[in-house]
Amino acid sequence: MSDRPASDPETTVSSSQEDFDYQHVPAQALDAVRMRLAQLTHSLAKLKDEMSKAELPQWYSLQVQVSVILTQMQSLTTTLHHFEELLDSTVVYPLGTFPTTAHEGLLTTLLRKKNIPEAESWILDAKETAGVDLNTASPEEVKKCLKSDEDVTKWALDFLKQEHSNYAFRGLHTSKKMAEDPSLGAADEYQPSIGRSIPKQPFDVDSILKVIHQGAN
Amino acid sequence: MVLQLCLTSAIDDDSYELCTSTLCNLSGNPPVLFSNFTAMFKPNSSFDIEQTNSKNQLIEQNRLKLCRGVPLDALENDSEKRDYRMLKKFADDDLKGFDLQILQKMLHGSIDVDDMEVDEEKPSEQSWILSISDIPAAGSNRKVSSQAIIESTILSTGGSSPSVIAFLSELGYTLDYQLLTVGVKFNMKHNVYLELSKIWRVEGGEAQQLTKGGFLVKAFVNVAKSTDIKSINHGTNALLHLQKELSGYIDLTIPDRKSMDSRLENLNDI
Repeated sequence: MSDRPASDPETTVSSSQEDFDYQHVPAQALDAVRMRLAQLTHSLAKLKDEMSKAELPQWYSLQVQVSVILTQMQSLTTTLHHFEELLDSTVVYPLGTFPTTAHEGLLTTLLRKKNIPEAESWILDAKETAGVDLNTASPEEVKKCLKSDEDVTKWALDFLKQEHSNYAFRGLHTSKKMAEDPSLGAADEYQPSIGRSIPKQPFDVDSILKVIHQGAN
Repeated sequence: MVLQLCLTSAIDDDSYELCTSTLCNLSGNPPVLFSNFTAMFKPNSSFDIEQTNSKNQLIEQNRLKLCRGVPLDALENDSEKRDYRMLKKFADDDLKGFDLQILQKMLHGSIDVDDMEVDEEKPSEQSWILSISDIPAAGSNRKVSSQAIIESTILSTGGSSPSVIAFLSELGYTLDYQLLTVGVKFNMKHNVYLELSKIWRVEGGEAQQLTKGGFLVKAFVNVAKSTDIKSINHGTNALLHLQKELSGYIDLTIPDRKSMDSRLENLNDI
């Protein structure tokens, strides 16, 4: 969060202060982060918008959106990690010419280092849900926690694969029967009869209606 | 005045049984067997009717539709139990075992001229329905066909010659053609009716099937008042919902409005 306010004084003040040396402002790093954040907020806003509609979108469209968001988050964390050192060592301060009294509200917002109360409560909520107290837990404990989470995921995936292989999803026989007699599943015995039961139009409806209403043949 | 909203389609004979059981399951009601006899009347041309009125406006001459239900027991006198399956045997022109003379008796009071004046066996215990229909409303962005129908019931014809045909000839109308409709009706959700019917054109003792090889499918909603926009929208939505539900199986479409026009065509002559 500390990187975001830094991008703004640069643009706000530049018009009034021409002789300031901007060469030390990490513009490239900030711009890279800004772009990724913009993408992410856009995607999140779109998802939120669709979820609040009366008619929910199809599950596959939701899945695609979520996977896009995950990719964007991944990209953001990579970028942040890449510029970590530079951004951490950057100190943000207002220039002397900044109209401090007139724009006090703006200034305090831009220079705020703490999260806004809303974000604070989200973080707290997430921490509570995770069940790990980061203040008291040692790095080992956190690592252990992450590892157990990965283990559960792995187990679930393995279980799913195993269960899937236990059943025959095609044909007319159970996988138990097929294991006893391998010749059973070889040919596709089931032929669905589609199309045959759809009625044909044996005559033109309009011409029948014409005879009914006008008697003309 | 009734406003009838409708969509039509057709199915072939072979799909009738599956179709009725599908619709039966869909509606939750068993099919209702019905049979109607329709006689269409046109203005008597020998009266030389003026085609414009005093203000020089065009007068549209329209056919009158006279209709009544015919009990199938009367047409086919075999006291057998009937259900929707009986329609399967009518693939051809031939109406097996049907006594078509009954229809003439109903219209003329009697087929035998000598019997004409005998009043003891009145065939008019059941009343006739007289209706006149407008051409369905025009417009390219319509989703369903909507036709205004004015209807009245003839309870008694009375007079010196009590037949309904004589009654209408006194009004200046002559018999144009006759139709016999036998079909099944389903009461669907939201007051939508769905009819599968076979229609014959009756001439003398002969019948010619119009719907050879299949059934006419008609889904309709009747709205009592043409000014009741709320009910019209409701009915339209109900029909569209049914259309969506049946799409891919029975594709209900809007019939051509010109084919549902029962006006006389001789107006082109002026």
